[in-house]
Amino acid sequence: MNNIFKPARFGMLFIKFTAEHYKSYLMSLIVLMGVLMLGGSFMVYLINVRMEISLQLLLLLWVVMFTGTVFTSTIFADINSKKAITSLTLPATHFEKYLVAWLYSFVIFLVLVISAFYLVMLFLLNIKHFPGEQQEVFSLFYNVNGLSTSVLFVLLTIYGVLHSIAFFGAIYFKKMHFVKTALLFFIVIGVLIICNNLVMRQMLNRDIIQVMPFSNVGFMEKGTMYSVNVSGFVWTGQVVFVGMALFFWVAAYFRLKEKQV
Amino acid sequence: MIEIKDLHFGYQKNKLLFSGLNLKLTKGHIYGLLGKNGAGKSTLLKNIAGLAFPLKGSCAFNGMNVSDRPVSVLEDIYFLAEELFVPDLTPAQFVANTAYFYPNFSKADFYQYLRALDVDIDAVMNKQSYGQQKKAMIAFGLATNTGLMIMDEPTNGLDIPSKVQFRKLIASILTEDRCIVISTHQVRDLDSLIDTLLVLHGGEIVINQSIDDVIEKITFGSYSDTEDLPVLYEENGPRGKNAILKNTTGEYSKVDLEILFNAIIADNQPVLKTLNASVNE
Repeated sequence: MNNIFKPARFGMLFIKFTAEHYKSYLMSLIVLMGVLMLGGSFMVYLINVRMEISLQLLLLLWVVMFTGTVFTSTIFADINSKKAITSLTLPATHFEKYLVAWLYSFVIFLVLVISAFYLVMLFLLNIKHFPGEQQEVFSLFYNVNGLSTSVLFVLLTIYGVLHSIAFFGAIYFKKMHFVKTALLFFIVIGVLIICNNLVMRQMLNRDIIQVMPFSNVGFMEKGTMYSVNVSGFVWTGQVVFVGMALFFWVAAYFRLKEKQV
Repeated sequence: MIEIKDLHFGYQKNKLLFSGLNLKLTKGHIYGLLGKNGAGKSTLLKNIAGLAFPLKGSCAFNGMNVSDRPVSVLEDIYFLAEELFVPDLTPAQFVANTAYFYPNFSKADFYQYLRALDVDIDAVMNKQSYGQQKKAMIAFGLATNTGLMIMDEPTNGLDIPSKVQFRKLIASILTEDRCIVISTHQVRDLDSLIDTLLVLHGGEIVINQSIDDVIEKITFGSYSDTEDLPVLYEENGPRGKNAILKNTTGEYSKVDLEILFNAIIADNQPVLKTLNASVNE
């Protein structure tokens, strides 16, 4: 077991990583909060946008997905730079090094960014009072319309997939991790949509309106547009997302094991 | 301690740096690894430390495959890279977070080495000059007390007094249980420090000899005229000719690593044959 994971050694590795990175991470978090407050204040004060729950959710998703993937793309910076020799020869197992990076970019990132988001939202909801009932901050356990599942679950699933892809890209590419991973991601998504449309067209034998995999399907018939939506929670899509996330997380581990300088 | 067998390695499969390199390094020695720029010195060191994986062949540390980078191997190897990274911490903070990983680390030794190398203990490392950063990491590496210490161009960036201190420290820490490999192209920095010479040339270790063996076979000197002398190699110097001669008298002379290195990389066969011949030949 010591050859894979030793709690004391992992603890020290976590402390070492924190000591060497906390200043830059903390600064990034403060900058993010500043940008959110500035942008949010602009929306509330200058263009009189009321922070409805749907808008809050959209903002949270956007903030987590964008900043999370950018941050995750840098998480293996130590082994892709002149620090590589120091990092790879540090006497800790690949799994311990992997786990520190995973915890920081997934768990700690989500906790800190969601907390920061809530603080900013509380600020934005209280700086200006709109007529009518006072708007509240949404709960992470709030059920998203039409999905019969919580915000937290949706967030974890979508961020899980995007995180795993960014995580793999961070270890796979030597430079420009975010740009290269994002480019490849969009190419793959484009190909998937085309393939999905072709399959749907074959299945329904109708003119399909552009559809995303594992979502609703729209088609035209006699000049009328029809949209077929699922009525409840769709497990297949979630299972595929979770499967994809696991696949890329495992692939990233093996990529770390075979990392050379 | 280190056994490299039939090492094939290249960053591109059709352009190999090493094809069938064999090398054994044992405890109790300070090896000086010399080679031209681009000869593959750093690459060889990376293979030894498990940072680059052989395409064919093996590289073992105390019988264990280094490519797996097991903790038991990493705990006993310290690699001082040419390109340094030091965190935004003081040496004391750095040690507090990093010493744990090296079971034989000695804090007392670390502070002693820092003082010897004139490094400020309370200064944040990445705010210091490159030379100071390097000295702090040399002190840390020496204090790890690992069985194998690999140093890639350790004297780059050091001033003259620091180079002198560095040589003294390296000489003082060698024990029967340690092996030190120093790679450099600044051959004069290794004078009177190394006890075994390794020369990497053309993808092969062309010389792997103790300094004692070298001086038993050849001598070095400056001569106004080398006629009638058993010259193996010579080059013009400011005061006549610097020459390598066959040691026919058995007298010892100081090894001039620079001229020896020049002779070897010029593929001087008389020097290579003399060195690679057994002592009794």
